[in-house]
Amino acid sequence: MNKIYPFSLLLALLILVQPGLARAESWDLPQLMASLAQVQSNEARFTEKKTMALLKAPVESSGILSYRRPDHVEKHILRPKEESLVIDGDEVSWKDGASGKKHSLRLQNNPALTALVESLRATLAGDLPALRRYFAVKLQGTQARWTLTLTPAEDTIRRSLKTMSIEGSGTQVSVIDIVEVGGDRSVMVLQHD
Amino acid sequence: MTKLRRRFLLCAWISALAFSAWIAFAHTRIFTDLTGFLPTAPDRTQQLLLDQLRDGPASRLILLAIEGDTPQHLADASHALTETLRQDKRLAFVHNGELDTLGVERDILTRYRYLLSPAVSAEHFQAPALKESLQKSAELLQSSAGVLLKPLIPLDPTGEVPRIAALWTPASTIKMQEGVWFSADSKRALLITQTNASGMDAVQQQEIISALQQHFLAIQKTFPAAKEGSLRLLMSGTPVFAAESRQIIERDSWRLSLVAASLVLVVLLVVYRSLSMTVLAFVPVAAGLLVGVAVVSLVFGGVHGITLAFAATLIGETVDYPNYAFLHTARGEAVKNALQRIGPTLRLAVLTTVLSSTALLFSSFSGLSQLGLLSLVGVAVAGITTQFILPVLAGANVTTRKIEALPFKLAPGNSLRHAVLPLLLLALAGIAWQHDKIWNDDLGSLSPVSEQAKALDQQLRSQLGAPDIRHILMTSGKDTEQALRNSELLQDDLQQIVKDGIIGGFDMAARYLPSQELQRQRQAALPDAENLQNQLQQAMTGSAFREDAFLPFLHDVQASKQQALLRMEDLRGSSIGLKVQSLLLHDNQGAVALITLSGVTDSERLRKAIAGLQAKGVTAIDLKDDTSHLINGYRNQSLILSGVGILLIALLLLLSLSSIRDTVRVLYPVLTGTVICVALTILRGEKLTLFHLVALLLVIGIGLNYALFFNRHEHSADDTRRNHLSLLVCSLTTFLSFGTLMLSRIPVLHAIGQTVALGSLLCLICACLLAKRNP
Repeated sequence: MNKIYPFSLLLALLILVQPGLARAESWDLPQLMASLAQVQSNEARFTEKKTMALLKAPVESSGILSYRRPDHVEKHILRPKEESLVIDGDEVSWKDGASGKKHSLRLQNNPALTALVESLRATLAGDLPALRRYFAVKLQGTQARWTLTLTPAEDTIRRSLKTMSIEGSGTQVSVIDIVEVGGDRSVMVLQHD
Repeated sequence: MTKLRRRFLLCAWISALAFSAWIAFAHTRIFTDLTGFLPTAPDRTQQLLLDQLRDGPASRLILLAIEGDTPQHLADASHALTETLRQDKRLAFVHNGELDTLGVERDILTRYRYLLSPAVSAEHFQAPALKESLQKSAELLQSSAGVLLKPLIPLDPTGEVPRIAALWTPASTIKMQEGVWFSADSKRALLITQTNASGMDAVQQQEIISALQQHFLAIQKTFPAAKEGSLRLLMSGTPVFAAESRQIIERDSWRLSLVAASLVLVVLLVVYRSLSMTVLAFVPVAAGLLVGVAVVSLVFGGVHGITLAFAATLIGETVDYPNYAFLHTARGEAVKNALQRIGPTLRLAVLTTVLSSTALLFSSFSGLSQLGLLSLVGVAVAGITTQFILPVLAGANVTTRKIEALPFKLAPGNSLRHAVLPLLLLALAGIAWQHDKIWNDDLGSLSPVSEQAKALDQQLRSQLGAPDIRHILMTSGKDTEQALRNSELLQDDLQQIVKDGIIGGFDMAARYLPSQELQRQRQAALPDAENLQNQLQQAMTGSAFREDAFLPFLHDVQASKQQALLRMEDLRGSSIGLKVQSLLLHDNQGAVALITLSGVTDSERLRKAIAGLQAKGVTAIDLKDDTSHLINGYRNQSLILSGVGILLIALLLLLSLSSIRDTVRVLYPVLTGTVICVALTILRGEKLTLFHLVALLLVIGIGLNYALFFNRHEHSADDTRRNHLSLLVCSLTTFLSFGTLMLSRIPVLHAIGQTVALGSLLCLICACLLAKRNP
């Protein structure tokens, strides 16, 4: 204790004495997360472009993405076909608009899918511990234009997911870019009204 | 009787008792398995039917439900419970609806998909069909579910894996919520498990059920304290019933025997005011029980719990013999004298009861013949003990009781006797009127399980879409291959029955393990490399897929064409293997493939549909109808045996009394009392089971005692008054000990108690009214 004490005192002094320096560096990951955690609900139109090794041409779709605190995310696809994907708590349900068939499964049984879900949901919820459970998180840029880079932390996830980046400004996410191990890539651009 | 002879008798008696006690206490297995009480069946179908009741896959299912919390928490508990139970080696499988946990099964499915899929045919791999498959795959890939299916599509563009998975997923109609099975109202998370042990093995099932409860309690503790108490586990199914029945049988048989014995004890203490006399009165009972149980144990290799519980009825019957002896003893007289006086009547009373038990003894229903043997031996030993041992034990001990004779007079043969015949006719008319509603052949009515538990079972069963216990189809063959092959031939017909909405689904071993022949046919239908490449190329023109997307598919189809066929050994250790084992039975005549049906909505139409299948060589088992039929057969047999028993009794009476008039005088009131008892039971809306028949035989045995004693030649008015006292005391002890049985929750014991209590009372009244008037 005695050894550490002067050191931390010194650190505290440094921060107090140089307020200008502190302010310049003050916008960091915890702060971004804290501000995101203030958002109660959010809705945006999206267009998504998926490039897959199996397919000749990229697939495009568009619809509405909405979020409600603490753990509800809904992806309502309107084009080319109506579909909805609802993530609520531990349940993921997928409904095919044409047939009306609904499937649901529990995240608990599927770590890879959980990681994918949390990358988006935990970001929107500003839940840093949840993000760090699955990813190494790196923040770049400024408050007005930031980029979060997520790299899988576990082997089970690393097997399918290579990297992920989320761009945004303020508390609004504007681009979600997912790169998979096989080279498949999905870019989702969000537009807030 | 010389002193030496007396000593010898006593020694022989004591050693017989000692030997019996040794057998009864040290070497007797007590069965509680309800099917142990069931008959052995005469033909193969019936035997398989009984085997199904005992060991069938449906009988080994435990249905579970968790309730009392939010769906989210229930789902968590369901998940946790499933994880724990999968570690338990006594359970063949546990399902709660979660799909992703089937690791081994998924490997088998993927590896053998072209041998397992019912879609495999030559056309399936032609360009037009392929084009359609690719179209569907492309749509799936582009949807949100694409993420999950993406790894599979290059291997399986025709969608065999999801097709087989859908076929294998039990009862896909159950509601899914939070990724697990739920009841339609979201209040219960549902699970299903199958035990390795027979559903009727009450002891093992009890252990498993306790373990299930322990596991659940542990899971409950992980929930927030406030919620801990509200979370509940419900269980049902044959194993649960078996365990519950066993508990009830064990508890009831002990409790009731004790209660009956103490009630009789109190009555005797009041009458005799002497502990030694009361104890002596129990000696024949105890001797009868001990030897009876020992003999049953030696003959049947054990005693069934219900037979033991039945021992309580022997108390009521056999305690009468010493009582007749004691109560006929005048004050200051030795018991020996009185025994000599009533000896002939007592012997006849014992012999007629023995004859009425003989009717049961020859039944091929093992439960009944156990009861018959116990009662026959018990009564005979009690009679012999009363006649020969009691005087020795009582010695010079003279009666000093306060109540020597009846303080008031019974007036047998009074003018009320004219009412008996009209009553008999009325009763017969009543029986004739209700003749189509007399019998209850439902095996379920013998089960001690509460209506509430049965209702819960029905509810869970329909919520889970568990196989119907009532209807099972079977196809047989000389070996596994043939049985599988025969069941495969029925798939289309069964599918049609499902389409018609008669049943929700069906299950058969061939679904998981197709016959070698069908697998070979599928292999032959797979195109060769060049052909498939051509067809695929054609199918891919204009498709969204890249040209080299399906190289893994091309490779796997070729590998499947060469691969070794799927055999039972390959399934071992997986839940699929266990399922196949439970649906594929072997006996000395070959193999039998079972087809279970679930979600039966319309029994009437199902019956018609099954009739159509039967024409194709399917054996249909309707557990309810078939067991009813079986029980019906045993009942008819018992009726005939009872008739023979009554004839023998009449013959014995005729020989001993050497007067037709006296024989009629004895038989008439007993048969009248019995008939009125039957009429009253039926008119109250109760249907007779096999066990009512047992009870009626007891009524006849007991009633004959009354009629015999009422019609004794007495030498003095004192004798008569003593005789009437003995009759009243004996009927009171009988009434009390059988009345006790009415408290039982075991329908068998309840029926016997009620019938004998009522019947013996009616016989007493009739015998009194119709007795010869003493001068």
